[in-house]
Amino acid sequence: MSRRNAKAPAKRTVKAEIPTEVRARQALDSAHFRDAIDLYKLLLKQENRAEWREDLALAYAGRAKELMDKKMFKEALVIWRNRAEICGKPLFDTDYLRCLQQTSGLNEAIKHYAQADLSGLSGEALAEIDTCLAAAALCADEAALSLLNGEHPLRRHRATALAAFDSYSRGDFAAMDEQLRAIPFRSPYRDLRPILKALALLAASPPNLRQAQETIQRLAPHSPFDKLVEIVRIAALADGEWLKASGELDSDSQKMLLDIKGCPPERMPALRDLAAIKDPKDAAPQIKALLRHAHVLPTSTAQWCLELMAFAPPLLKDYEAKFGKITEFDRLRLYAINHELQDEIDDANRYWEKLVRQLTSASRQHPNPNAERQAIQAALILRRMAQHEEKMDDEDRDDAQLFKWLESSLELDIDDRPTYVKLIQRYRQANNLKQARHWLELALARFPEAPEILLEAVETALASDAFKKAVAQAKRLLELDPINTRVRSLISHALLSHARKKIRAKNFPGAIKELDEAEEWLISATDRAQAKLLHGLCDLLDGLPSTRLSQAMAALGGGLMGEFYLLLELAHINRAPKEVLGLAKIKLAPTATPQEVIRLAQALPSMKESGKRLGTAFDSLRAKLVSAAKGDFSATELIEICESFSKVDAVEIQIKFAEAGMKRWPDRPIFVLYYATAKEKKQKFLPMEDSDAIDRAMVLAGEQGDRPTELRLKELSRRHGNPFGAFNPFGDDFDDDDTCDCPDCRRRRGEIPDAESNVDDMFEQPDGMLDGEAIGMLRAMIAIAGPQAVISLCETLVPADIMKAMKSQAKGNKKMLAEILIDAMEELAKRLPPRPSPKSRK
Amino acid sequence: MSDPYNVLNVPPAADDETIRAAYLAAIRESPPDRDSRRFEQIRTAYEKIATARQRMSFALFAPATVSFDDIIRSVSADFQPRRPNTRQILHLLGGK
Repeated sequence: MSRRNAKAPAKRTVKAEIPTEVRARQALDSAHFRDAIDLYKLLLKQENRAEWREDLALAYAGRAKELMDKKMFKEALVIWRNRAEICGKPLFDTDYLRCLQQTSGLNEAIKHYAQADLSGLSGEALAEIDTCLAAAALCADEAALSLLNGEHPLRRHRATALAAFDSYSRGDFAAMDEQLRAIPFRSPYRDLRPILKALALLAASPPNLRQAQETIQRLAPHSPFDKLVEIVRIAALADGEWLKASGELDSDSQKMLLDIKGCPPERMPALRDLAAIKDPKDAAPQIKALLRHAHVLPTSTAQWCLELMAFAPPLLKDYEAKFGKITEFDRLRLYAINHELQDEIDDANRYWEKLVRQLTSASRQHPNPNAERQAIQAALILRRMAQHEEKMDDEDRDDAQLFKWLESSLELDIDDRPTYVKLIQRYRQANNLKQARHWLELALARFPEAPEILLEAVETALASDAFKKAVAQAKRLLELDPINTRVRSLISHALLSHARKKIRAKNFPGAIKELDEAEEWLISATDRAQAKLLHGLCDLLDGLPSTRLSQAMAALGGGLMGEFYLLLELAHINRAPKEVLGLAKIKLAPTATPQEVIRLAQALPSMKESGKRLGTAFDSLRAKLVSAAKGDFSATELIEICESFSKVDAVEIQIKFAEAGMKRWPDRPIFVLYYATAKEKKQKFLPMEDSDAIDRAMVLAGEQGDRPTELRLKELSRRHGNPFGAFNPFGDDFDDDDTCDCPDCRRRRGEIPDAESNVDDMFEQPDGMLDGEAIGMLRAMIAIAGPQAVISLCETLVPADIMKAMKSQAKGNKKMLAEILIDAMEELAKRLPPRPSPKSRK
Repeated sequence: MSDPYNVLNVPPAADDETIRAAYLAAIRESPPDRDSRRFEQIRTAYEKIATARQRMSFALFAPATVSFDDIIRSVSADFQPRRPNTRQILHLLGGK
């Protein structure tokens, strides 16, 4: 027995259980009209029920409309006729007439209509049919029309309607208005009033688009003149919208639209080509269309094409064939921009560098009226390259190159203040204070009164611990900009820093002098309390009796807050907490309340402190804060605490608070994020259970719609998670690196440092790691996720030194780097023994 | 990217003064409380071409200032609207 025969009885059994009437109803309700027709016909054979006949009529109408939508008018016509014959429904309705017009032509439609028995139709239905035939009646010949009664609505105002068209064509709009007024509201030709009025508005010079649009919008949907209405509607669209919309029209309609808009005949093919462009953001088809029709387009076409060329440089040859060679300047610029658009910065820079050389050399030629302009252009390009470099990750950024570009740009364009500021800031950030001061001096010599340069002078002096100098510069700046609160704050902090320096040198009177001077510049209550704390420390260390210290600690919030500020100042003045606390007879509280922790967390983000001193202060408080994590915090409070501690790199404390959050709110992925980011700072490789937790939290964040957390977890997962997620091509046992002794797993567990990596390690990966499937997936990744995804993935597998060599080989081209990496992996795969089956591995 | 010169309605050769005057006029016409999107567009445009150096930078680095709409506008700038005759209209409606 065939398979088909074997299945059939079961199917029949199931269907036989449902009554035909129900199935017919279901088919009709679910718009399965063909089935519904068959089933109702079956039912009617059994019994001639009126309701089944009605339903069959509905099924016929549904099917006929389906066919009309597919432009199958002939087939639809048969269905309409069957409906009339079998269900006793009137044949003549608007849909039937539409089919008739499409299949037999307008004259035939009029003839059929004129000879039909319409006695069963209501007055309203007849009026609707008349309206539907209005366009046909306008176009029909006299022989067909003569079959209609002389007083028939389709004949009565036909001549007036045609006369209105003639008046419009002649431009006699007054006559047209009069003729349109003569067409009554109930006439089948009534839609011609707004249509012709809108056409007249479009014919004005300049065309009155807005009013034409408003006029045509007044028409009810489904006009007998729909084809004309659509053209008028599109012609009334603003700017380029009309041409984009014209792509929807058929060829005749498009031609009429272009006529109405006034397109010269020779330019019509160009406009049609432009209208056919599907994506207006895709430059290539635009360039191709413009080049193809350049001879009939305005002369500015060459310039438009050149501008668009950065998006499609391969078309440059066609451009040059049409408009002649472009300059070397334009060529280099176009290619550089093209690479920038594709985020291929190193490639872009290669072109920019060539352009800089060209411009620089041209600017040095004499006589050259464009020398200054060319030098500035070269400087701007150098700054652009520096800007790209600044955006690189810290590890990828070439600071030496960055400085070189910025400095060279100033050689060409000596008056660019923002570049001086950037250079000074960058050198300061790089701890190269000598260079920062060098460029500051040059900038000050050039712009002695520029506030932004003076501000850099203050910052640079502070960074060099030249507090007096910083104060002097800040005062100078304040003379120029008296309401600059940042400068006031800088002065006060410079004086406080100077006071600390003197306390470190045990020059207590000198320190108090600085603190007194700082007094007039201090703005916030916290700054004042900090100054008082320093004053108290001076007294204490100088052996003087004073209550300033305890007063200042109270003013800073008392409890944990007061202790924190005291410990911070002790770190500043290089004093051991034990010694000073003993002298001051201060005993730190053994515990901290949740409220104290929250206050500290709230204060941390606004502190200017960072780095070592903050770490020293936290060292003394760590035990207390770690144990405070067990306190009763809300989820929001824990998030705030984790966020604050993450900003000051208090890793241990952040881990404890994040763990508390994870334990209490396991469905909040953000705590996993805080936990993992803190742990990542502590150890380079996270254990597998943490990686799994990251992956789970990432999925959870996605499900909860928490996109920022999901993205940050994704980034973490990229660094620490299973690189292939659910689609692990390496088999399940790849995860078993707790016991695996391969170098990569040992490196993951932190058992061997990265320095031990070498290319041979790649041969000792778990078997099957580099199989064909994985290589294929990597190749697919380039297309799906982009080259960066492959590079990121390979970075977790390939030793750093090999990676560096490959990066250098790729010269910054990410796609090339991804391909080099995959090729290398494939080569290694060939040298590996065949992968055993998972069974044999176990 | 919208062309800042179009946004501010100034010619490409306009100087600082002309551009500033156009900018002030434009923001007077579209203050932020009335049309914040338009205001932002005007401000962005001004920041791109306010000074000679910015204009030079814009000319060097902007990928393309011409949009598809600009092209269509220019291609159709010299169009003289025409009125199709009755025969053409009837032909469109299905007449022979």
